[in-house]
Amino acid sequence: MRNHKNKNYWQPASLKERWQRWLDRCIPASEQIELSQKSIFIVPSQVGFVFSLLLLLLLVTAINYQNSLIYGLTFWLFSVAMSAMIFSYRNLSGLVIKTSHAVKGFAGENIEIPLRIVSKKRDYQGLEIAWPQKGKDFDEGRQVAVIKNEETEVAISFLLPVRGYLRTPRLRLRSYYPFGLYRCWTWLRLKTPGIIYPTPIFIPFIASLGSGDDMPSDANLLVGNDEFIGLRNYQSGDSLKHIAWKYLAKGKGLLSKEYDNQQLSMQWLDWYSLQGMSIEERLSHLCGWVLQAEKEGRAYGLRLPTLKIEPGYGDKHREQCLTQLAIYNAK
Amino acid sequence: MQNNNFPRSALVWLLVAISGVYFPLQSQLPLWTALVFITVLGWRWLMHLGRVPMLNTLGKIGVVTAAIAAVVISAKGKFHLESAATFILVACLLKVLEIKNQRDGYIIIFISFFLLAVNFLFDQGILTTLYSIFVVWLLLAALVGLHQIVSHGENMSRHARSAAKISSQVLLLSLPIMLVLFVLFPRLGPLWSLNLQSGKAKTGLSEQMSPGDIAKLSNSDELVFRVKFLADTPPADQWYWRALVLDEYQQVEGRALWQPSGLFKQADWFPQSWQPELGVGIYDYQITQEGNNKKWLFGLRGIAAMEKDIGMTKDDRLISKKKISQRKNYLVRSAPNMKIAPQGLSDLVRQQSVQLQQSVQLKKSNQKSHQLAQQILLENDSDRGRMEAMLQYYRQQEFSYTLQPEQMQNNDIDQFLFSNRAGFCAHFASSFVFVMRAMNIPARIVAGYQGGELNPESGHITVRQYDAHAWAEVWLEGEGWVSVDPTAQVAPDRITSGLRSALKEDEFMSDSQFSLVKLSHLPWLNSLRLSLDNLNYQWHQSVLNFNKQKQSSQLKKWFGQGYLEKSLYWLIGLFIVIFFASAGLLLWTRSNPKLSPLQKSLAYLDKRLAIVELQRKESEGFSDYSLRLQQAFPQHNKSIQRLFEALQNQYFTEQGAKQSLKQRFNDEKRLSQQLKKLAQNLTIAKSKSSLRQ
Repeated sequence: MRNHKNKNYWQPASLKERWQRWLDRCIPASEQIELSQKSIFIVPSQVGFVFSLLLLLLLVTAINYQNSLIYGLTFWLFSVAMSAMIFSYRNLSGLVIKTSHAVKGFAGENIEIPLRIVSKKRDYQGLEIAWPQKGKDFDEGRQVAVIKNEETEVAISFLLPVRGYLRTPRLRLRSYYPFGLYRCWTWLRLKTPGIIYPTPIFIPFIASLGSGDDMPSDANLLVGNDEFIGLRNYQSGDSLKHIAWKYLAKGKGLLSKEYDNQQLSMQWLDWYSLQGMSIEERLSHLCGWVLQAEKEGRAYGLRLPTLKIEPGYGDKHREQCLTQLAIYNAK
Repeated sequence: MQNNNFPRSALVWLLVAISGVYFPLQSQLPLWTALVFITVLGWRWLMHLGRVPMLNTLGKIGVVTAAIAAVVISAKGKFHLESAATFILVACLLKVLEIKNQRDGYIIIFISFFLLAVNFLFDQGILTTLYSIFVVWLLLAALVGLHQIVSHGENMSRHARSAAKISSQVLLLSLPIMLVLFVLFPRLGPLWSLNLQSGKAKTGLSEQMSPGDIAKLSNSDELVFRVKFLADTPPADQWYWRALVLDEYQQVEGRALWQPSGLFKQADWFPQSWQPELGVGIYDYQITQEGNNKKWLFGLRGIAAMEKDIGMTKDDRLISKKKISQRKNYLVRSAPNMKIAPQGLSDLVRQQSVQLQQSVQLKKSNQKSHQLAQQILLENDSDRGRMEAMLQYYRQQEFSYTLQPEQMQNNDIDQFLFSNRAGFCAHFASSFVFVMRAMNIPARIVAGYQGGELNPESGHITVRQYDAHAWAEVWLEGEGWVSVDPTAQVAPDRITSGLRSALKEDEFMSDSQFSLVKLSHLPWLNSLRLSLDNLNYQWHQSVLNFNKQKQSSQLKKWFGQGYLEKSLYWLIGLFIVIFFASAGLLLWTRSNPKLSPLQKSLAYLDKRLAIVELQRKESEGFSDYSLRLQQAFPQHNKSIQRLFEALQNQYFTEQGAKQSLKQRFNDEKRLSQQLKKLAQNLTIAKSKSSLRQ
């Protein structure tokens, strides 16, 4: 009972933290990690325990039948099990794991994170790579073999958590090779460069005109190869941006300019138009708009409390906007 | 991990390994297991090729039921070692049919290791041992195969090679620890005594003997026991190894049947039993007896028990407390020349030793023999004289010795003595004892082995089944029981130089097509055979018989007082040393491959110049580097240029055609010295110039 009480003093969280701190000291996060005795853990596996039962059975048989050869077999298998420890260790030791190209994706999305594994020492077999993910066991790990002096690229599926800079948890690299008697593993933190965008939420645009100075001139609207095809009578609902002001000034009435794609209109994606929402919600909505605008071929600008991105168009622009959304106030 | 699929590459290893395990067991287990084996392997292979589907649940239940039924039926109600082994084997084989994942692979491999151990209960020869090492190798390779990842379309042979390599490496690497453990690990006595034993009938002597029985044994060259005399060796004509005394005569279907009467079941157990002092004419010897599932032991006349759980009976035999199911090593002392029961026989024993028939009806049988007995009885006045006369009879009447006597039906002793006159030792002994008893002289048959082959290399005697023999003992007033061998009257060679010399060439081992013993007239083959026999003997003595006593005497010799404790320290110490040595051996990889002197000098130059950051860059050619150095060290301009041109020549012109290897080597040496010197000069120059600045 007393022990049980004492248990309460042990905070499991603090243990876990200590473990993590210890890991960070022993196997610091890096772009490239070479496995050595500092970073490899090894314990007998379940199969190893079953094997030791087999050895016990053999020993009892040898003793009871007073059979020297069964003694010999038992001892040989026992020392094979001992040597197997070295072989297991050898199947991780000297392995070099490197990060590969940067990754991008949306929070909540599964993405393949690439790794490169190389070794100059020997071939490696039966490597299992997996993330510790909540609610799931490690079964979905990848199985890899590495050939000496050949670079192996592996992509491991990873569920992106919250927006921001990519910070992967420790990756477990494990092997039972060659005899399955030992579990040999390591926890790696690779500094894979990457950005996680907010999860997009799709709602129709909320029009935002912005301040007068920011109003772009008409010419700016003609982006890309969308052509101005003519004028028509103004209908209620037409964008103010499309009203032909010059004609109005000349007294020719309220006309709207017509483009071959009516959708192609300028849009400001404005933080302040999303009143009454939390920061993350706002970012998600903005993210949805960016994607929508890009898809519809509109030119769009992004306005955040901290910065403003001038309207634009195209992959580069989109990425710039998404990145700003991702790293907004991020640590 | 257990959910991993079963790798296809592992299947081949596994099937080969299973076959390897099954092959030696086949001869011990019922024949139908071969059928199961072939069916299972064939079916599994077709499954692998995708020709047949996996068994469904109903099919599985059917197969398992059939297998259990077959095991139970073939066990015939008795649960012995063979039926247990059959059961395990069949279970293992059926598991092969339903391999789905890695775990099934583990189960099969681990059971196979155990089956390999079971096979050692049946056979412990050197060849079996070597073969078993090979199978262990196969099983370990299969275990490696279980963990390999073979992607589609990949060449499997690379994986097979790597599995084979790792399996050999691990076996070799663990050999030293195994040897250390084998010698130093403390041996214990059996934990419990109820072990499953083999139910197989062995060839060998049986407790009932009918003339003609022993002739069957003469076709077997199976080892019965080995003898090693510790000091003197008695002459070969005294090598009568007693096993049984048959003093009860019966007539069954007109033929004589001899068996032990049961009068002498009582035994004096060591150390309460009689023991003669060692002296002249008294021999100590070690017998290594193969398991025969019988209780009797072997020894020369005048026998004395020398070990625990061995007793001696009043009819001058040794018996063991337990059945000899495994090879047994024991010490015996004999005084072959002593008198046995000279003071007289008890009424009971006397009666038993002259007993011939119980019923009146049978009195009429073997009438001629009775008449012969009467005749001899009247012609001689002492029992010894009568005995000699009977022996004389065999010599005079031209009896002959053969392994293939004619079948004798009724009155077989009459037939043998008066019409056939050709027979095996059992016929001689049987008829002799019969006639003696007919004269009211106490007599009995002794069954055992006679002779044996002396191995000149090791000095041990090997006794095989074909040395089986039957002779007689007669009780004479004042002399006690006297051993008599009627066969020796007819075939003296049988006693002095073994069965082969007593028979015609085609009669010896006529049932065996090929036997090394049969070919022993070829001198080189014979000496090879004897060497092999010696090897086997050494194997038995040093490895198979390495038991508790041997171990402690060996350890005492090495460590002296307190050997148990010291051996434990040694065990642990050696274990650690060997473990780390092998770890070093495995993990150490040559960081830089072996460099030639020239390459070493270049590396040295690089190292020296690295201090002043002038080392050769990666992928920088000699000429570029030479130019760069010349700019950096204008004062050494010329020497740099010359040296690098020579280097260029050394490396890039086809030297083999122009120069001899030696010349090339000398050039290299000269160049490398020059390079070293240059390296030193350059660094000195650089440091001087930096000082000046």
